[in-house]
Amino acid sequence: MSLRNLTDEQIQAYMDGTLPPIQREYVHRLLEQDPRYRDVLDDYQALYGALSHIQIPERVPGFADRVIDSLPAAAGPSWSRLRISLVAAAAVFSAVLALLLVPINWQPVLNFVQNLSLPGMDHIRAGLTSSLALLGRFSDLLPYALASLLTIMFYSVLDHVLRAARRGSQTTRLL
Amino acid sequence: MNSTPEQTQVMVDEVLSGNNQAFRGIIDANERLVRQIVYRILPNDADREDVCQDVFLKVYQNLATFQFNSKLSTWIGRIAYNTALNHLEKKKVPLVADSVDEETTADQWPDITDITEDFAESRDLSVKLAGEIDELPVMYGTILSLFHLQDMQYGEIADILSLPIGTVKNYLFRARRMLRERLMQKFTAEDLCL
Repeated sequence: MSLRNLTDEQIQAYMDGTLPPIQREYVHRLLEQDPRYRDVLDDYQALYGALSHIQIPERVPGFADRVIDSLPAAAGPSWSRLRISLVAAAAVFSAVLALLLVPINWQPVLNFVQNLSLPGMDHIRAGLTSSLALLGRFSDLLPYALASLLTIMFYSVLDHVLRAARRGSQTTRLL
Repeated sequence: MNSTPEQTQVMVDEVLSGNNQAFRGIIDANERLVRQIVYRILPNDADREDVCQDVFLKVYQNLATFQFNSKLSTWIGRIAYNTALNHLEKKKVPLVADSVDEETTADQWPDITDITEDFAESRDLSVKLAGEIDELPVMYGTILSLFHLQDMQYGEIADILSLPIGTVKNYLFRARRMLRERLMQKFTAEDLCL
């Protein structure tokens, strides 16, 4: 093989350890045989050694504190913003639901449930009847109570689904 | 950053769930890398601190978009590089070799108070070399720094700089050849070897 084939780049790649085994062996032999290439190799070895002594910028004391202190002023992580959006969506959902539920006359519904016959379960019926009687006294508040309950369910389900989806996609990416 | 993907995910999840203090771990692990990139690109000392801070704010704001397809440090490095470049564009500073002289460079690196003879020699050499790297085109100096001082692989550097791996290798080889030629004109191999 001709010694003229060895390039400066090959010597550097040899130093970096990025040559495939066959090429590495080839370059190694040429470096051993030709003092001109050895001189180049020596230069690069000296350069690499010197580079390893260069100081890299140090961490600045208090820098992390300054960044963290400035975080609340920033717009926060997108995930947090998403959850804020979720709360806003739940509030809107609640308001719409209340508007839909308020005009409904709930008294017939309460009467129907109170008159339900539950054979063999008198004690349950008694408890249910007294509860419904109490609820009947506050029937005006029923739509709001229902809206609140459904809103909490809406928020919890959506939050759970979003978290599961996010974790699932991240786990898949790690595999 | 030497944490495993699982540790990185835990750290990212902590921050995303609103734990700002968990973000400190991310800053501590990547501050030197960010400074390395920003200092290499921005010649003006006054801008550097603001840009470094801006980098981490962007990291925080965009953490939910981190895809875990690369190391977190590579992703942060890319943000640092783009932020520094955008800053240059805004300030209309040309992307050419730094105008910093050796004295300025020496002041920017950390103070060394406990100076032994060997350490003084290494610092002197460090200053000379840093000065020579500053004279290289900025892209060459950046690649050289990431490879030799941050121990990054070609692929990681390519990711940060949005360049093909072949181009990164090519620039790195050219940078070292230029550095070798310049140094050998000024110093002997013995000067470079401690």
